[in-house]
Amino acid sequence: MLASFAGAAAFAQTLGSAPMRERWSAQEAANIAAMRLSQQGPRPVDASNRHELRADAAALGRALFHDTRLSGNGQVACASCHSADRQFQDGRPLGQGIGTGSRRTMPVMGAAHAPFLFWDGRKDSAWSQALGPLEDGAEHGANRMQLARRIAVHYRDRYEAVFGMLPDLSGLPEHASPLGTPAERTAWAQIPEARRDAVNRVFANIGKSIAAFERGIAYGASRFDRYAEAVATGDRRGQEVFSPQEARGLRVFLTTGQCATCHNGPLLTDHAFHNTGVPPADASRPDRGRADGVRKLLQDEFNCLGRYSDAKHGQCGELQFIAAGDPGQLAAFRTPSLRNVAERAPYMHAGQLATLQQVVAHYARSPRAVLGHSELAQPGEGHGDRQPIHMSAADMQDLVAFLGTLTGPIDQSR
Amino acid sequence: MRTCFPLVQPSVPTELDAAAAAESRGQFHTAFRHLERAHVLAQPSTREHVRVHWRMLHFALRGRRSGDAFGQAWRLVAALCLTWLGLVPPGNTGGSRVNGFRPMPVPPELQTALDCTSGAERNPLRVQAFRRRVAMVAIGVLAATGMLVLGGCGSPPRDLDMSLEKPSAAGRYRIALVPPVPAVAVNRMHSWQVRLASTDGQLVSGARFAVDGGMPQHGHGLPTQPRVTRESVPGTYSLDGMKFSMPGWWQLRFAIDGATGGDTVSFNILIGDPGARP
Repeated sequence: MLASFAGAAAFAQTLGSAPMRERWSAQEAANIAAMRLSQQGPRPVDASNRHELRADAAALGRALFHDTRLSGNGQVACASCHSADRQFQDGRPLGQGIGTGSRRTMPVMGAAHAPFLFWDGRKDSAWSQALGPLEDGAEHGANRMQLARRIAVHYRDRYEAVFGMLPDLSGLPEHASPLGTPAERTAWAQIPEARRDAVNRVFANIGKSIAAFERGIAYGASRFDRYAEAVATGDRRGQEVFSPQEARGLRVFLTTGQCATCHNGPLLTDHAFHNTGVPPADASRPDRGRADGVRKLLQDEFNCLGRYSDAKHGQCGELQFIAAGDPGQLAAFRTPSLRNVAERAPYMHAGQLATLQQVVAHYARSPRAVLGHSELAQPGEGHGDRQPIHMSAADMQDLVAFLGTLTGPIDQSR
Repeated sequence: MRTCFPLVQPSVPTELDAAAAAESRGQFHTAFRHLERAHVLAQPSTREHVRVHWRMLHFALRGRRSGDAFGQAWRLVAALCLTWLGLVPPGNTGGSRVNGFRPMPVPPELQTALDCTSGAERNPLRVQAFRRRVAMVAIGVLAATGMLVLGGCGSPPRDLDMSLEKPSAAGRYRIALVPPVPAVAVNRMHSWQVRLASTDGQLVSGARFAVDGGMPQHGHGLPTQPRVTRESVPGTYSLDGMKFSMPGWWQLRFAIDGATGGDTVSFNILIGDPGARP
C-alpha cells in the first residue's frame, strides 16, 4: 500500500522534473521557464522614434548622454545619475542633479521593453523620457531653447547628419521653455508658433538620439537564467548553480511570498502599476504616483500621439487605451525589474528602504497604504480573493538569497 | 416506493465512458465533470472508488498537471484503505482541487442511482460516527498541511465558469466573447470581438458597452482600459486595447446598453496557464 503510494507520488513528480534536485510542479516550472531572459525576444522597435536604430543617432546620443553642457550649471549629464559603473543609476535614495529630486533614479536597462517610463509612467517612450530630466529644475535644470543652442554650437554637423538642417535660432531668446521659470515661460510665449515648433523638434531629437544610445544597454543573463534553463530542459546538474537556500528562496518567490504576482516574465516585471502600501518618504505629502502620471502623460506634447512622434495613430495603443480612471492607480508605482536588484540599493520609489531585507520585511508585513489602497491582503483579513503573504524569518532569508542570483552583467553591445 | 430504471440511470461505467468520449473530443471540463459524477457513484465500493481515482490520476497525468496527479495519488491510496470502512465523504466529487474530506451535496439523479444500487443492503457508508470522527481529525491535519504547502499565489477556483458565451446577468441578452487568433500573449495588445444577441437569437445592433475587469486574487484592475471601438458587422463589435500583464485568472466585465435595456455580464479568462487551461 505504502509502496503504491510512493510509486504513484514519484510517478506524479516525474511530470515536473523527477530526478531533479528541486522538484517543481508543471505550473512552477512553466513560470520559471517564462522568467528566462532569453524569453523576452528582440527589443521592440519604438514606432514613435524612426531614428532609433541608426548607429549615427546612437553615437550622437552617447555623446549627449555624457555631456554636462546640457545642463543649467554645466555640471550635470544624464550619466551623472545614470552611471555606467553603477548599474546606470546612482545608488542614492533621491536623484541628485542641480537639486534633489523627489524619486529614486531608475536604471536605463529594460527601458526599451517598458510601455511606460518613470515610476509614475508619465512618459510613454524612451526618447520622451530623456526629455524630462533635461528641463527638470532639480536635475539638469536646462531649458529647451538653451539646449537647442548648445546643439547648434557643439553638435551641428552630427545633428544635421541624422536629423537634417537645424533651424535658424537667430533673434530668439537665450532661455525659453513652456515648463521653466516664469521668465522662461514668458519668453517662450512670445516666440511665434512656427519657431517654437522648430525648437521643440530639436529638443525631441535630442531625446531620440539619447534613446537610440540607450537601446543598446540591456541586462545580461544571470545565474538565475542558468538555473531556469536547467529547470526548463530537465538538466539535473544544471540545477547545481543554485545553493539549496537560493532554490528555497525561488520557491518562496513563486508561492507564499507572492512576488511573482507582479515580478514575472523575463524582466521580472509586469510593466504595470501597483499600490503595495510602501510607506511614503514624507507621510505629510504622499506621492500620488500613477494617478498623476496618467494625467501628465495625456497632456504631454511629446507623447506617442503628439506631433513630434513618428508613430502612426494605430501604433499608440498603450496611450489610446490607457487606464485613466482606475482608482487603484492612486499612489501606485511601476513594478521595477528585479534584474540586478541586489546591486541597486536603496529600494522603492523614493529609496525609502535601504536593504533587500527591509523590502522583503515590508511585504511580509503588508501594511495598509497611507494613500490609496494597497493591493496586498493585510494579515488576518480578507481582501477580495487575495491571500495574505506568509513568510517565516527563514523564508525571508532564503528569498533575499534568491534575489542575489538575479545579478548579471550589463550588455552594451549593439 | 422507489422506482429504479437501471438501464437509464447514471452508473460508474457510463460516466467513465462519457468522460473518455468527452476527453477524446477535447472537452476537458466536460470530461472531468463525468469523472466527478463517477466518483460520487463509486464511493460505496472500494473497487469502483479506486478505479475512479485511477482514472482521475491518469487524466491529470495526460494534462501534465503534477499537482493534481499528486492529489489523486493519495486519494487513490486513501480510497483503497478506507472505503470498506465507509470512511468516505459522501457526495465528494473526488477532484484534487476540492477538499478531499468534505461531504458534498449529491445531485438528485445520482442520489436516486445510489439508492437503487445499494437497495436494502448494508450501506457501507453507515459506520460508527466516532471512528469517522477520529479519521476525519487525522485526515484534516493532513489536509491542512497540504494546503499550507500548496497555498500561495492562489490557483483559480475549481468551479470557475469559463464559458465565453452566456446570458447576461438579468437575462436580457446572450453575449459571446471571441478571443484573438493566435492565442493571447502576455503584455501584448490585442483585439477581441463581442457578439451580442437577444435571448431569441436575434443579433443586437447599435449597443454600447462599458468594459472593466482585473485579477480577483491580486486585487488589481486591467492594465489598460479596453473599449468597444466599432461594430464591424451588425451584432459583432471590436473590443480593442485588450492586454493582460501576467498569466493567471482575469475577469472581464461588461455593462451593456442596448435596444432592450441595460444589463451586465462577467467572463472569466485564464491566460497562459498550462495547469488550468484545457
